[in-house]
Amino acid sequence: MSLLEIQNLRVEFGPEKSPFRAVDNLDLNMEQGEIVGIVGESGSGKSVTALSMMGLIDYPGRVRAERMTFAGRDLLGMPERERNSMLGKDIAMIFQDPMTSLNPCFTVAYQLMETLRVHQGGSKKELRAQALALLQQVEIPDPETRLNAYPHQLSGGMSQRVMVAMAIACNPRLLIADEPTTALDVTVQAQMLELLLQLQRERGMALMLISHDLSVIAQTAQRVVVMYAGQVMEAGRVPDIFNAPQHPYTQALLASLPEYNVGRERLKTIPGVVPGQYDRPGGCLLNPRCSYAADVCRTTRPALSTTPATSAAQVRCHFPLGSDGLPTGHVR
Amino acid sequence: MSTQKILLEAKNLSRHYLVAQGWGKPKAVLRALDGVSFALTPGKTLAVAGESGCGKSTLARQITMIEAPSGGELWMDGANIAHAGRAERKRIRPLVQMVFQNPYASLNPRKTVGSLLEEPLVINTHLSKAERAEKARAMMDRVGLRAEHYARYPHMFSGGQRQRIAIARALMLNPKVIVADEPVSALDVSIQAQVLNLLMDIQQSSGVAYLFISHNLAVVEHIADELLVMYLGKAVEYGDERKIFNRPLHPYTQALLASTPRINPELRQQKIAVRGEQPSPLAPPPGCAFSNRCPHAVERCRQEIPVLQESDGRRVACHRVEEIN
Repeated sequence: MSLLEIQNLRVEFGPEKSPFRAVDNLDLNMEQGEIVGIVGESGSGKSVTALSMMGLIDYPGRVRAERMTFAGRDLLGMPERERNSMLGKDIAMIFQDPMTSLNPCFTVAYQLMETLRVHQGGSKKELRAQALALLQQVEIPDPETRLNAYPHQLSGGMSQRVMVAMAIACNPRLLIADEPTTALDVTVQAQMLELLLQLQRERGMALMLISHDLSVIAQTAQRVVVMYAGQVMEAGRVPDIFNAPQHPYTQALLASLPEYNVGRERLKTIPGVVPGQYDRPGGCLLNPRCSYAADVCRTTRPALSTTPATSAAQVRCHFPLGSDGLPTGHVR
Repeated sequence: MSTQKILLEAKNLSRHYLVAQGWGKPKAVLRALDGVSFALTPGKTLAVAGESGCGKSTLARQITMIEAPSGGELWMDGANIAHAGRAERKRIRPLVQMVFQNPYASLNPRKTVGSLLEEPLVINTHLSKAERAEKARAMMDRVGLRAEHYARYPHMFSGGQRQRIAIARALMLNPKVIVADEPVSALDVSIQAQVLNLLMDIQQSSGVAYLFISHNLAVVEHIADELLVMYLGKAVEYGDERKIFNRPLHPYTQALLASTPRINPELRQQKIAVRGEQPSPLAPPPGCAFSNRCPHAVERCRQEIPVLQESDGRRVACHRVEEIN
């Protein structure tokens, strides 16, 4: 049994009859101790996926899934009390912007102790000692004085470390990190990723790393899910998906990176923009921007299928790319 | 540097701010930009890289004459614009234009694309309305906007298109220098490539020089001819982009490059331990500003401020540059 099993997750907003699907038909499994990266451009539904798992999609948004279980327990069907006791304890999340996710009115110690008090309880003295130990674990210099600091007295990197300390306070089995380093400088980003990986190794927790930055994911994750306009386009193991992408979107995304265009004057581009709420095309979502699109791509939406080449990979394309980087069985 | 005609030259450029420390306390001096020198040549791109708070944007504000520098010289078109008079500044201003980081904030939401593009002409030229409209339409075509976009408002465009509008606006007066402050960092990967291509096309056709400010070294590596790495208001390494990327000499440049994530495992470098964060610019460490994070720091680094010195075809500000490389 996987730690996290999601089948056919849909997150909808707007009218029941013509809903906008921020996440559509998403399948995701995660094992204990696994690092999965979710990558996609803005509006691809990465964050909404994470929020729906944390129960943070409020009415009128609707979360539906055939199956959404964590350690065998149904996340959507369970009573709210039970779910609340799980969230923040077994599943914890780190948000993108550390400066706005801490409460400016309370000290670091108060906010760390609050998490601990809610989920495990204990005397004030014990909780404070635990909070101090947590700050030491996330390598905050001078942790005793930092306990009494307010968020505005901390730098961006320091605030994010406090957020991490808060997330790991109750030994979560799954940590969701939504763009944990986007607001940070590169040298601090490297430190933060190192810290997350180190904590993941020590505690054997599963880590879901959400990022728009392909290189961050390539460097840290074991498995990658590539999302586009609310759907999974491709999923696979890490070196494979970057060495031989099977979906034209992944291929084009990689080709547009400066890293893949060394010494070349012009970068390869993907024409057009990510479709928004009102201009999602029929058929395959990528077809207006795909250089291989054929007639069937404009009419029929492909299903996410396991490819014969490697059993660990899934791809949503009528003509998945072969090892030569060209579509197979393609008739224009 | 090259023997080509120099467009813009900064000599020992500084900008210090006085910061109130609280009632009754003396004001502190924040050295946002502290003695930076560089030169821009036509058709070339100088990239300025560094982390937040290193003075990149302050530098842009001096060059675009949004602020007057508090020290040093800034030469452009035969005039020292650091201390130029009103008339002189007005003459130089159209030659330096700027593209801002966030295209969602830099375009006036109440103006159509047409009037946004014509505004620089209204202020700086005596063209008639019809001539202005003609110029704006020609520019829209050049940056890849369609003719029907002329009467539309910024909210009707995506981020990438908005950045095209911002670039078009910067080009309206045929500037010689464009200061681009993180022009692609707010854009998605697939859009980023389109905008970078546009910037390079424009440079090829018009010979404009870019001062390209970015924290993203992968982008810098692609677009830059020369690179200026800054740390806490000072230049730490300055020279040919290829030379610096192939063999960074300053420990901070090395740390930056090593911290940049890469997809290709072969390009990933051995992690260089850089502990901690950039110190507050109000209380920089004595001596070398990087000394408290530098893995190679010795006693001398903590006492003596290093100056830029020629080393292996570029200029580096490090006491131990010979020993550690």
